[in-house]
Amino acid sequence: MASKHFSPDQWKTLERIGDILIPGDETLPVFSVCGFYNHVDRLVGFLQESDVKDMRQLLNVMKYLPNFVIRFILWIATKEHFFPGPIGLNFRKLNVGLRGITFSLYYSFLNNTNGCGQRVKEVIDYDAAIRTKLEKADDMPNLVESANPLNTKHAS
Amino acid sequence: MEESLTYDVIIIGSGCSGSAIANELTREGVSCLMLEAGKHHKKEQLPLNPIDSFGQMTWGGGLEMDTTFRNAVMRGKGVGGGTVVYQAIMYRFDEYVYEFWREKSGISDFTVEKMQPWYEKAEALLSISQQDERYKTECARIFHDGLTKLGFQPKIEMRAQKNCHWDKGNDCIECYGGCKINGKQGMPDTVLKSALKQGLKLIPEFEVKKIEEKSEGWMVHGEYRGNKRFSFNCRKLVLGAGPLGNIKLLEDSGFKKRLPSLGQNFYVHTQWTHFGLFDQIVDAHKGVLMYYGCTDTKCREMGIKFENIFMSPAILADFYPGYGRNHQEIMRKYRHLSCIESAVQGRNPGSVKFDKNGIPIIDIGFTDEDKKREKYAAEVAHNVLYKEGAKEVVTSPFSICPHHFGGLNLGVDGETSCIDPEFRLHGFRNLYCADSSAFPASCGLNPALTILALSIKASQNILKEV
Repeated sequence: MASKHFSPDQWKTLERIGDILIPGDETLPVFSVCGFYNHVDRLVGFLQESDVKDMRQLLNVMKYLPNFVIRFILWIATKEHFFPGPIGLNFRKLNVGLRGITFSLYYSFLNNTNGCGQRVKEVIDYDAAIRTKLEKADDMPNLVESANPLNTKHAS
Repeated sequence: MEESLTYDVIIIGSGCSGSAIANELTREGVSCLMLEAGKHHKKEQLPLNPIDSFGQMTWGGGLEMDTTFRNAVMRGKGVGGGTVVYQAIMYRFDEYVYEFWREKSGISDFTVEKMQPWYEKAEALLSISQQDERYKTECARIFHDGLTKLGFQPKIEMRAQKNCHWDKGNDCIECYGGCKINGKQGMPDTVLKSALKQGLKLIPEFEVKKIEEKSEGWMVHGEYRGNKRFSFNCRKLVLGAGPLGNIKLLEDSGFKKRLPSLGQNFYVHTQWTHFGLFDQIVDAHKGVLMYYGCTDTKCREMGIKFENIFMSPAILADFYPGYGRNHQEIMRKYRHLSCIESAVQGRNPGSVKFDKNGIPIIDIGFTDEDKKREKYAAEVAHNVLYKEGAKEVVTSPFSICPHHFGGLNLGVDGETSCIDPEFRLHGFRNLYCADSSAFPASCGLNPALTILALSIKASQNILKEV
């Protein structure tokens, strides 16, 4: 396992938090068995660098906390509306960040996740699809390609 | 590498506004270059999961939070801009909007009558119709019946679409990340394609970093694919990067002093999602999406709109509050969930500026009065869901704001607005803008058709002077 954005310790902590957010049961897998490190760099790569830095710092702190303390923090963060000002704001940030990363990875039905993507999809019974094909070939790729003056002047 | 090419007009951004202006200008033989920061996604290469579609097709990984972290601005990135990921709901604005806009801008031309010809031209560019009633879902029935019982008058939305083939089992929810069959009428499948056929030049993956005023026009500097620097000259420059994109570019280019209201008078619609859990299967993810909307007189007076929205599991998981076993149990019952979205029109202006890392600092400007309307709309949505039999109803922990307006603003006064009634930036001869950053204020309705209409109108002014 090697992540560009998270150290092994940070990733392990994120998996520990993920297991609290998504504990799994007899049919749904627990977060950490899915090996999402294959995808987390891609997801995190789309985020603002400052947000990623904040996330790394949070994980560095949470690394030292026992699970029951993390559980308490996650629980109290859901009560953010009782905390005005910066405390509530930071609870909301924590909620959006941790839930965002773990839920997006878990419920996007990703391949290469020890079969988790397919299993979660089957349990949820999600079957939406586009079942037809384009009626005629799309001419946009050629139009875009030929419209780019940098393609003709500087093929790269 | 530095290169210099000259065009009559350069357009920054390829969404509704940029595409419409490019189409009008190239039809008249004007040489135009469009610069778009995002990629062009071929149909067969459209991202297959929400991580990649949000990541590749929106700025900031999908959501850019406001200063309270309660509201998330979402803006499209890629050839076609937000129109690739939008739901193509089309509205002509009404007198509620134009009265507000006249008051804010001092421009008397904002009337239903005077805007009509521009809407007609905009509508002619798209295929706009109602979705097929046979493929509406139980979620749509709940929305319609519940609101009707509470005295509201929901109606069928008009949507830019064609050949969606619901009869063959297609589900619109799969087109959030781009429509694979050209059903949703985004710009790449309609107006932009037409402009390209008329000779528009287009460079995707080109992020404009700075614009520079020259004696005969403008020089535009930017990066191609993140590492090659190019500059282009033009006689006229059009900003079509949306409120956040335009504000950032003008700030980075050093025009804040010449445009004192830049970044002010910024408005959003906060869209809160309310979920109801039902005993019966709702299958809100199947068939047509957003079949109904509610914008009756009562809603318009209050500045609220109800939408018949739903979302794929990865997005829903984020929007459904909580975590742990309870949250997991809800996700297991995905097919039993119904949803109503309440959109609340911000009537008080907020502001946008950027920090030293280029991250937007967004103040949506909501007052206690706006929050009261949010609360009222949420209560209505909850009542609808309970009345129709929901066992449990919850609201998302944050709102999403895909509609954002102003920051530049049309207006007669150069102190309180950046864009004059001719769509030219105050104090600049050859710099234009007609996208949603030009809106004098919010509208409470889906803005795409009006962006098209205003952009076609602006094109006539640009053409006069090319």
